[in-house]
Parts: sequence; structure tokens; C-alpha cells
Amino acid sequence: MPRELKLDSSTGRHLTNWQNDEWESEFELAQSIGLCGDYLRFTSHPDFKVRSKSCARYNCHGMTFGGRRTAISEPDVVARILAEDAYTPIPAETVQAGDIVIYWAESGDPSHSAVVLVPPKPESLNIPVVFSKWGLHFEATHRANACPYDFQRAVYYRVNPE
Amino acid sequence: MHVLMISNARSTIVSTQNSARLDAAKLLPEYMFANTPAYLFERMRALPPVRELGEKADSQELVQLIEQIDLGKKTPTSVALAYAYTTALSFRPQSEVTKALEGKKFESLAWFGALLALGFAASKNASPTIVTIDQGLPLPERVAAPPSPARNSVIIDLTRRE
Repeated sequence: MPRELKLDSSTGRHLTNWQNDEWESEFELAQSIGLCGDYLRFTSHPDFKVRSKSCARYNCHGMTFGGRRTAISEPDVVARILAEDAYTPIPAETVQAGDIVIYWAESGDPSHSAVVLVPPKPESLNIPVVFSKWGLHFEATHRANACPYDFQRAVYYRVNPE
Repeated sequence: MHVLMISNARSTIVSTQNSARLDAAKLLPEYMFANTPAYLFERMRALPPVRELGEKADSQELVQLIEQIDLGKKTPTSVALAYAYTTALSFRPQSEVTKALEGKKFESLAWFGALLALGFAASKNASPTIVTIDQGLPLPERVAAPPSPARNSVIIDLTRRE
């Protein structure tokens, strides 16, 4: 059974999370990036830079919302974090470094999240540079649309605690 | 009165050799980059070999393959395969899957339950259904249902049956 941390939202309600313990060796994880074939095209972009080694402990939402301690993968938990921690959707024109972006799938699944590093600007075709964790793989800085996740329905958020 | 039948004919050829058609190297990136079960499910389900496996192997065989991985020493590749087999179950009749899973618990595979639930939802959308509609509604002989904004959108064929 995966290990779960005592992780709450700002309202004190528990947030379901898990630390991946599905395999015993990290060796294949480290080797697997070489097998990612088509995805490696993203790594050749000028803005792409790996920030950390591959790590199963946390995923993108664990990086964005969980302090890099654990993985958060249930859609309703991400929705609760946005609501209970008082994240507000913001227009692209007002985005600043430190705001977050959720990559919503057509199905309503929060397939990815990232933290804005360089806000969207007209000269960059309104595509920000972000940093994010790519599943079980690394953290990377990258153009927001140069990654394995669909940026088309992405929404920017800023936390606005009362 | 028009009667629509949503067609979902499936082959039930069973052969363990079908499993060998899955290329683990192609499955691994999908698993490694997945932050959520829904992302993994959609990516896996879109792979032709996973669909082919689901159409040719029966639920009993797929469950046995998952069980072998669940009980053995796991690697990222073997877990990716287990999730591909789980996704392949979404192409099987739900009653057959439920029967094959009787008494089984794959607790070491963290996303097994979520993928199974997504599969049941998808197969429910695609299972044979009789829909009664008003006579006056004009219908083409063969139309595709529009993509649903709801989770697990499935493109289905609507074929008029006289």
C-alpha cells in the first residue's frame, strides 16, 4: 500500500496523497528517460532545462501544492485545493512569476500543473516559461506548451487568502 | 419509431501470445509522464496495441497477467504493463471483467482501482444500448456522436436499424 502523509488544505481538511512505492529499485527509473523516444523532442527547446533528477516521491501537483513531499493525483483533491486554499483564476495579462497554471484536460482532469517563471508576453506569443514536475520524471523549466501535456485549456491561478 | 443501436462488437479470441504484442518501451513513457490516472488511461487507451489486446484477450487472461505483476518484483516497466492490461480491460464487457476480478485485490498497484473505474465508465458509454427517439427526428444513416465534455468521452457509431 502506498504511504500517505498527513496533508491538509488551509481549512484543515485532509488531502488524499500518496508516495509511489510500486517498485523496489530506482535504477530503471533513472534509465527510463532514454526510452522516452518522441517525448525527448521537448528537451531540445532553448528554454528547456532539467532542474532535478527523476523521482517517484512527488508528481506535478505534489510539487505545486504539496511541498515536493508527496504525490496528488485525484481530480477532486486538486479542485478542493484550489477552492479551500483560495486560488482565483486570473487572466494571462496579469500573470506574474510565482502564479500557477493548471493544464485541464477536456475531460476535466487536471493532467498537469506548473509554476510560472516568466509571465506570458506578446513577444513570446503569450506562452510563459514555467517549471514543473513531469510525472515520475524530473522537474524542468520549459515553455509552457513544450511538454507532454496539453496547454490548450490551461488556466492561471493566484492564491488570494482572506 | 426509429431504433438506434450503438454498436460495440468485440472479438473474443484468447491467446497468451497476444500479450507479447505490447511493446513495453512504448508503454513506459506514458506511465512515466502521467500525473493522474485519467491522463494515463486516455494515453494508454489510444494506443492501438492496447486496444488490440483488449479485443483479443479475455478478462480472465488480462487479470492473470496483472496478478503476476502484482505478486512479483515490480519495475517501472512491469507496472506500465500492468496498467496497460488494466486499460485493456476497458474493451471487455463489464460483467466479464467483474467476474474475472472476483476475490482479487491489487493493492500494490496504486492506480489499478482508478483505471478500472475509468474503464468501466468508458465501457458503459460504449456498451450496446437501445435508444428510442421520436419519429420526426431526421437522422443520417451513420453519424458520429459529438465529443462529450464529460469525463471519458468516447466516439461511438450510431447506426440506424430499421
